[in-house]
Amino acid sequence: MNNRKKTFFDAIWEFFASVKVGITIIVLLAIGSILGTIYPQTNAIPSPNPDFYYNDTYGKLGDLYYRMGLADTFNSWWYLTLVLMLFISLIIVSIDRGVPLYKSLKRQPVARKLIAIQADRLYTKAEGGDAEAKLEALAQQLKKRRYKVRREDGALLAEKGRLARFGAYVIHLGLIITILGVFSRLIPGWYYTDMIWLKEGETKPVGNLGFSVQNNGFTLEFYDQAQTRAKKFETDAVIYENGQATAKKHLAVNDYLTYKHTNIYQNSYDPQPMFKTGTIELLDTRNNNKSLGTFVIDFNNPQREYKVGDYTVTMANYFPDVKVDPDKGVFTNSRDPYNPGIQFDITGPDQMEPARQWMIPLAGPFVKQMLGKDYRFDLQFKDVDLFHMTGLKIERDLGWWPIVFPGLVIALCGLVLAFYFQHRRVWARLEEGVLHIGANTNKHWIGITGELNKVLVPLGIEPVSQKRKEEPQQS
Amino acid sequence: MMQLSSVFFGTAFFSYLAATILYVVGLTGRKMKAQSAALATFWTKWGYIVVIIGVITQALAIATRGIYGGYTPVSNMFEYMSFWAFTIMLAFVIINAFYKVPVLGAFVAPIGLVILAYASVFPRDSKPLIPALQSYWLNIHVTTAALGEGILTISFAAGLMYLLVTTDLTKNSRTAKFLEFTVYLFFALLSFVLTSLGFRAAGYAQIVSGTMGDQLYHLPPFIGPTGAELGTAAHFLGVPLPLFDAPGWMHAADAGMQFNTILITIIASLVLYAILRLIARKPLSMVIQKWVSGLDSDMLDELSYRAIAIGYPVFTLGALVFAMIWAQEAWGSYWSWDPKETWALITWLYYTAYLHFRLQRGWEGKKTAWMAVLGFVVILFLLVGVNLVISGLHSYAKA
Ligand code: HEM
Repeated sequence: MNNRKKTFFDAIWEFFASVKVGITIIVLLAIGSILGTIYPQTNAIPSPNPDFYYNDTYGKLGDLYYRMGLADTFNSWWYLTLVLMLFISLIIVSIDRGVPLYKSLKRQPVARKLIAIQADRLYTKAEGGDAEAKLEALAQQLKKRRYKVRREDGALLAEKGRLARFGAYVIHLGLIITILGVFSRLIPGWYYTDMIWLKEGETKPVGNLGFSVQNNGFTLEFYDQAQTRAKKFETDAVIYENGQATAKKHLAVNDYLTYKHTNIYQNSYDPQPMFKTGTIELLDTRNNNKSLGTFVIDFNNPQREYKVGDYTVTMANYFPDVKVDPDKGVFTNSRDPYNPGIQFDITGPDQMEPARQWMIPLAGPFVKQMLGKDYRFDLQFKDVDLFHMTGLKIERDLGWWPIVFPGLVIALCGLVLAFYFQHRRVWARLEEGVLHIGANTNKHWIGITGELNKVLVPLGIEPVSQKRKEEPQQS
Repeated sequence: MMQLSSVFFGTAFFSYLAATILYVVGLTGRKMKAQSAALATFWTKWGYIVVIIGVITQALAIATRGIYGGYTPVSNMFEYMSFWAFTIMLAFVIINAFYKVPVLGAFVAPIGLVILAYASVFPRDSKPLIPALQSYWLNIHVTTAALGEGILTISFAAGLMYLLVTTDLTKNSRTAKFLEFTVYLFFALLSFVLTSLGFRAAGYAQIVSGTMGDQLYHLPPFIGPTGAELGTAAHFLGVPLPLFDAPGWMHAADAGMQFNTILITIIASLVLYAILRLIARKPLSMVIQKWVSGLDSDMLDELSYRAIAIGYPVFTLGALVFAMIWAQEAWGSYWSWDPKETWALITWLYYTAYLHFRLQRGWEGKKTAWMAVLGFVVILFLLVGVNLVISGLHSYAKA
């Protein structure tokens, strides 16, 4: 039983220690990420209604994308599983290879076998002359070039930049820490994210963090008349806790408020404006469109009845975001007054029987025709006040500073070690009056070739040149 | 300032053009006559000097434009693409100083030149910044990332040279076909630039109306927007246009225009390719192969790898770490999976895979050279494709 368990463990270990498996995970992550960029993800759409947004904006394909869960690729179980596998693989491969590497570098002998030296990709020999003196001079010169030189009789090992060999492990360690930091979001209370859409004056609680945000006014400015290029958009935000205003800030993009380790920042705004209030004039179509008076509607909170002169306007039906469909009839898309449609009953001195009629300010000709337009009265906007909802992003991520950021710094240090430093070793061995010199590096052969020749040529030794790669190498 | 910037920009452009000519002449000269070997080094030496002049003048162009606009000019497609061309040439200047492979210039100079020309296809005016871009961390992030991309592009050039040296083009192998296709793609990009700039220089403009509104075409509208009436918009060489409309399911209002550009580019590139092919009387990759024959393939393999080894950490720093710091500072969250960010991650994973493939036996040389070549396509998509193809929220979206 014990034995079987061990083999199972070994199999897992071997699986994750394999570079092939590691590459497969990396490639799968890349492919998965590509899928996640086809359409914007739900956290990035400029609309509070993903159920409609994908269909409305991208049609059937967009809807399919949303329904397959790809609109939230990066939180999907399969994506997170891949990240987890990468994490495990990084840990196992680093132990599996890092420890033996450390041991073997620590235990390397000074006197290396002659055939091994001769097989080095960089190799040269010096015959005749005073080989002993040459070896001595070589040792001195290499020391000057900051090599650590060890000697045994007739043999030399000069080494520098050993740490570079661990660069890859430092990178992996940094990534392990970074991924830990990302997963620290799973600790209760460490991570909270939300997108809050606020109308003017509206207050909403922030999850269960114990406070609420209020939109005390949203301003939007454009660079151009056509309103295509936003210059700035800003929200006056107030934080309430236990009924008290505890913090306030004029939020702008790139300038956020931190409250109780939670960042509240201006992320976006709903490009589609909503109706706030409107002044409506009632006109009599039977009487040369004579004005019968005006009334004011608050679209977020409409009254049931309005008095207009001698007439009474009663709201029979209110669709804040009306859709008129030949098959499905009239319905509302949402509870937000993007496109209000109101059915009024109007009575007055010369109209005892209520005249029922529609008012849809944004209706196209098609809808107008469908609903009929031979109405007794006409309702015209005299004045309308529109507003945009502000989109505030709430982000609390306690793992960034203590974990993710240091992880990234470590990974960068590892990258510098692995790629901008090299582990260079030079072996020399005196045998039967001949001085054999072999050299090795883990990277950048041209660099070590040049360096070595700068030492060898003044000593009257034949310069080294790289052998072809096909020839055997020793590490 | 803006005019001064344009003058510097033009000087840089013509320097790269001159360098391309010097390098190519230098190489073909070297192979044509044995006694012209000395001359060849003369040509390539001047090529290098001219590239350095180009890099300096482009640096001045960027600086003056920055002074005029009041921000680091890396905020729209024109600025970003020309900055990329700049980093490619800069990376070449530095790497060539160490490795002394003049032939590399014959590949890098035309790449930088075409990318710079491609940049000028985009609108060149300096526009005020949208709120998300008003941050200095952004500049640090974008310039470092571009530098990484420039260095990685060198590995593409060296990888391509490696493949040309090691492939027997007389045999009809898959590699040979792909190489020829790669050469064709270069001419496709060139024809795109030439047709776009040509019609623009001629002042061509045509409004075509479809169901989703009017579209201003700068190329003859062979494909109209959805719902445009066929044959009524314009005439080109006597043919009434448009010939087709973009299908309605494509949704984007400018789908027809984009389709049209692709169609014209394909036609123009095939014409250009056919002409060159007729002059050469053999696959163009064979012509180019002559330039590199005799080069040490191991050296090229190492060079291609080294460029990635140098560029990868810079890219990691600029495109990922600085981007995360910026996002955390500016937005309060270090990562939000927007398409540009995600494609930076994909590019990074791609080169990570490259580095690990190289640890495997049998992957040095040909296979990784192909990966280096394809890496260019990945970077191109990161820089251009994301903006033009993926309808992202990212701040660079359509300049
Ligand atoms: C996103 C994830 C990863 C990154 C960014 C990364 C990065 C690196 C880098 C930059 C190197 C140095 C390469 C070189 O010197 O040419 C390296 C080496 C290496 N990586 Fe990774 N790696 C990742 C994941 C993995 C995984 C999942 C595995 C294994 C299963 C793995 C196994 C190795 C091995 C065995 C080495 C060679 C170590 C040595 O030189 O002794 N890596 N890695």
